[in-house]
Amino acid sequence: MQSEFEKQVQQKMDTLRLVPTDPVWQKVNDAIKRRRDKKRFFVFLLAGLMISAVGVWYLLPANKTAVLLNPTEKSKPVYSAAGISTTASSPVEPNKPLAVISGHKIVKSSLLHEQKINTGNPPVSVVNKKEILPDRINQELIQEKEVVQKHPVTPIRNSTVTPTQNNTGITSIDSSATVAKGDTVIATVEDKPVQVIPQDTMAKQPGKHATRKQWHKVIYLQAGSSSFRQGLLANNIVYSAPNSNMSNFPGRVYYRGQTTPGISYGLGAGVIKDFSNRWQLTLALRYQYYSTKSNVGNKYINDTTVRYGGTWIPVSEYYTNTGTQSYTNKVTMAAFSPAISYQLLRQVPLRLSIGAAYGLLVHSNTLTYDEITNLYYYNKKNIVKNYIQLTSGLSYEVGTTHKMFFGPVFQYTANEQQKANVYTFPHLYFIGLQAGIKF
Amino acid sequence: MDQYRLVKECLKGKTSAQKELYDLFAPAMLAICYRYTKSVADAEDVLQEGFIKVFLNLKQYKFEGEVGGWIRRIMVTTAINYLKKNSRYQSELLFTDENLHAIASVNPVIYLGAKELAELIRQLPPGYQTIFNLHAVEGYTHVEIGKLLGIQEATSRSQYARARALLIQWIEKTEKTSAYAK
Repeated sequence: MQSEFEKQVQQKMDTLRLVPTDPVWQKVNDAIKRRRDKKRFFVFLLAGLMISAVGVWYLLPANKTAVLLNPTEKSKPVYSAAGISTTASSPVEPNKPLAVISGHKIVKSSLLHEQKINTGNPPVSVVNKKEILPDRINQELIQEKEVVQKHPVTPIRNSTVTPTQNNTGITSIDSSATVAKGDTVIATVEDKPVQVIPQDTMAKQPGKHATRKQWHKVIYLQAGSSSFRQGLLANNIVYSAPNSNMSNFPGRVYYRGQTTPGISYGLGAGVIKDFSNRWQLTLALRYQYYSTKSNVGNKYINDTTVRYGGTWIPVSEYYTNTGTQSYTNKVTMAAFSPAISYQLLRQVPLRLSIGAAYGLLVHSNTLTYDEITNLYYYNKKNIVKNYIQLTSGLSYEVGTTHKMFFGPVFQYTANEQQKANVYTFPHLYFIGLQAGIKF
Repeated sequence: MDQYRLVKECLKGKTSAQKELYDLFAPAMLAICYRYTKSVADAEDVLQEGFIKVFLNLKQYKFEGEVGGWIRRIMVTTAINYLKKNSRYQSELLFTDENLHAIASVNPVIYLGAKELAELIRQLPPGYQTIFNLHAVEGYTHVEIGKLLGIQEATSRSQYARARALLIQWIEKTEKTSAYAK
């Protein structure tokens, strides 16, 4: 229990108020903003990774081969046309493919349920019910050579299937036929004859050639780090004589503080045109945020003059150059970004892209450094509005119809960000990761 | 804007609301930090750290009780941690289990102003100063102080008694030499 003395002390201390100086709030605000920016960066990165992960999971075909196995003799799978006793009510038309297996699943089937094939031996049934039911029936997939090339049917060991040709060039299989790698096996579903259609035949079928889509839409996310290519810099030199005789100054004697990388992220959308299997043109609009950090000193809200463009101009707010505080320079830009990409290897979907973008400044809070007074201040007129950026990147694509891509990306701004003080303010660049989808 | 609405606006990330909350509580919180430290610069450092913690952890405020009380607890904890981390104070934060003579409890009337009293509290050795602030001003029990500072309850009691006696001496001396004495 408190005595009277403690109560008095408490009452008096509760009435005490002290006003903090301005820099305290500034530091609190900066710390909150830094944390918020970091959060946004990770959200973007996570979103990009999740898009990539979902795309990879959804679009990558499994590397399994659909095999019709005799459940009792797994080493001798049999596709047999002869000897099949048909119990279906409607016999299959000859030469009409009933189902096409590509990779691990039937991509086209006129019969959508599992049935059993009686070969006279113990009944053969489909190994995996789930795999045989097509997720998607896609005319283009069947007829593209590439699809068949990418997902060849693994030769069935010890198979004794011998293809025989009929007058349409369609090969049907009897019990002694051999399925060769690259062939598309046409499986039957329940008591229908099995046919093998060589891929060339399929490709020649009139009216069924897949046409390559010329134009695709694309959206992508980028996240990474941005900074300046360092020009002249040195350790901070404390400005000790702010009122010295400026008319006798010998030239530039002070140097701006070091600039360190900050986070950057962007969102782009556009179109891609395929010129061939390997060449592409991308036209995209990109909205990007860049940040860097400069070491400055305390902020002062006082009137002073700084040197700019050969004259003295008044400023009401400035930072010293003592290197005790960190200031985040932020740049937001909208860019039109055309690029050409080339698939480096025929069998590997790895693309190298290069391009040149035109960027328009949306917002910047970058400080201008005055090497005469050794002060930093905000000068909107000194900030360049139009930029030329050189871009390059590598991307790995997955998927067929809808392609996901991800990989490193690099941007370099060819012109300086500020008009004056060009010796000390280098070029903005960005290094990061990109993930997107082409559809 | 009432305080709960202000907090909700801060949670939405509105800088103006955050500034308003800061302006509302910073003077009182700086006074608290001032009592725990030895300089205005240190007090402002504690205030800055404390408010950063307030805004980053505002989601944990459950809208029970005054938001000022919640902020105050954060500020006191920040001050204690600052003293423990800061090398200037570490060597002086000695809580020794000394056997002190029993000091008669007196309850003098305090005529000094709040600022003068705070200055006297700040002149106490850091260990005494901390314990006095926590018990007399914040209302922590000696058990709670023991847990907070990692000392025995008995040590807290004895250190507090010594701090109290010293402070009363200084108050009386100051009042005698000033116009506040009757």
